[in-house]
Amino acid sequence: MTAKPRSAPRPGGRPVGRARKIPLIEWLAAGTGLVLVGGSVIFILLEGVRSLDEPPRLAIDAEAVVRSGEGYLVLFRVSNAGSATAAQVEIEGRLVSGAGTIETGQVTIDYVPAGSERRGGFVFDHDPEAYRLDLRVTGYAEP
Amino acid sequence: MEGSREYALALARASAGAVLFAFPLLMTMEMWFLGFYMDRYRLALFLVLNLPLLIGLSYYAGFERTADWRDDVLDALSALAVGFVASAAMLGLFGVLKPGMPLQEAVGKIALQAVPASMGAMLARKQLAGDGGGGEGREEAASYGGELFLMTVGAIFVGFNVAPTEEIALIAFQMTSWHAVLLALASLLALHALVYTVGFGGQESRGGHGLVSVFLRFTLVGYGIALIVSLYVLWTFGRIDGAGISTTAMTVVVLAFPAALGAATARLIV
Repeated sequence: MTAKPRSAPRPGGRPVGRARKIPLIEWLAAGTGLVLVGGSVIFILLEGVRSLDEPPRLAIDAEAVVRSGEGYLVLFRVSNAGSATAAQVEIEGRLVSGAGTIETGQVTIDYVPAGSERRGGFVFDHDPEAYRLDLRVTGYAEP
Repeated sequence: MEGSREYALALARASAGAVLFAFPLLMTMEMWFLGFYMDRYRLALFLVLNLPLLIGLSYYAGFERTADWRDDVLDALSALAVGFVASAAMLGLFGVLKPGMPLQEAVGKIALQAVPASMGAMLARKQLAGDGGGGEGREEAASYGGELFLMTVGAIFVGFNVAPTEEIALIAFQMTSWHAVLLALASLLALHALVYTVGFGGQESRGGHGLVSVFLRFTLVGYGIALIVSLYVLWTFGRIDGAGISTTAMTVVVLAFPAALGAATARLIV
């Protein structure tokens, strides 16, 4: 192990100074970086321009009903078509018959980002197929 | 093609550095959430400001010895490429990025993580280079302005690691004004002790200057840098939006504690 002088060119290494020819791989790596960071910045700015402080627009769809142990699992999907993220999204599920509400359930979803969807499920004792299933968002908080 | 091989090695080392330095943030859930809900303009500004920071870092302690400013710019961009790829790969591995996720959510998450990852990529040489990895950088001979730049990088790097967490705001809520004053004093004391013992520019920069001179030139200025960096990072993450002036001041003082430690130990990291 020999100590190398700090500024002198190393044998076999590239010379230090303006004369150094930059290898192709360095241009490729830097070009990739430029495309990634430039692309992201432009994409993020466009997204910012597009959003115009629109509140979250939340919608729920029931996707499937599955038997689960003693009860029934109702799988649902919440989507946010607005341009702001909704946090702590409260969802209420109710089974309703002609006589009134048979059963209710509550679910909180941490985040539903703008333009995204999140999934969850309700567990009911009664068969949801026998009643009317009512799913709605009861509230959210700004993150 | 000796140069290419050498550069490929530097890139491999940079990737290791990116993962090593960024994994605490890659494994912080607030960072994933901030990626999609933080203000888009602030995120874009954060990404843009990261570039001059990387160029400066490349000059002082980049992942390969640079010849001129053009080389520093190229290396900064390469570090960003490494930062983006490493962040995307790790977030994918952790299941944070899922197939079918909308592009805006994925881009936000990756871009935010790419900032610390690219800094890690840049710092890899100093931290990971074995013998033959290029030795010491120029930071040993940094001017006063250079020292302040390195302190800023240290403050950002360490402050950033805790800034997104819920705990920073929580600590500020728990504290009284007296706690805040004591914490500010403790930060100054720790900063001064570290600056004096770790040494800025080794002994030569301190040599001839007394305790008071070091306190005025490095400790006070360093704490000022830590406060400004904390305020900027908290604003970027929207952590002080809608907060009153006293809550804002308390939160800044809380984050300035790790930021000051980062500023003081910049010499060890950078």
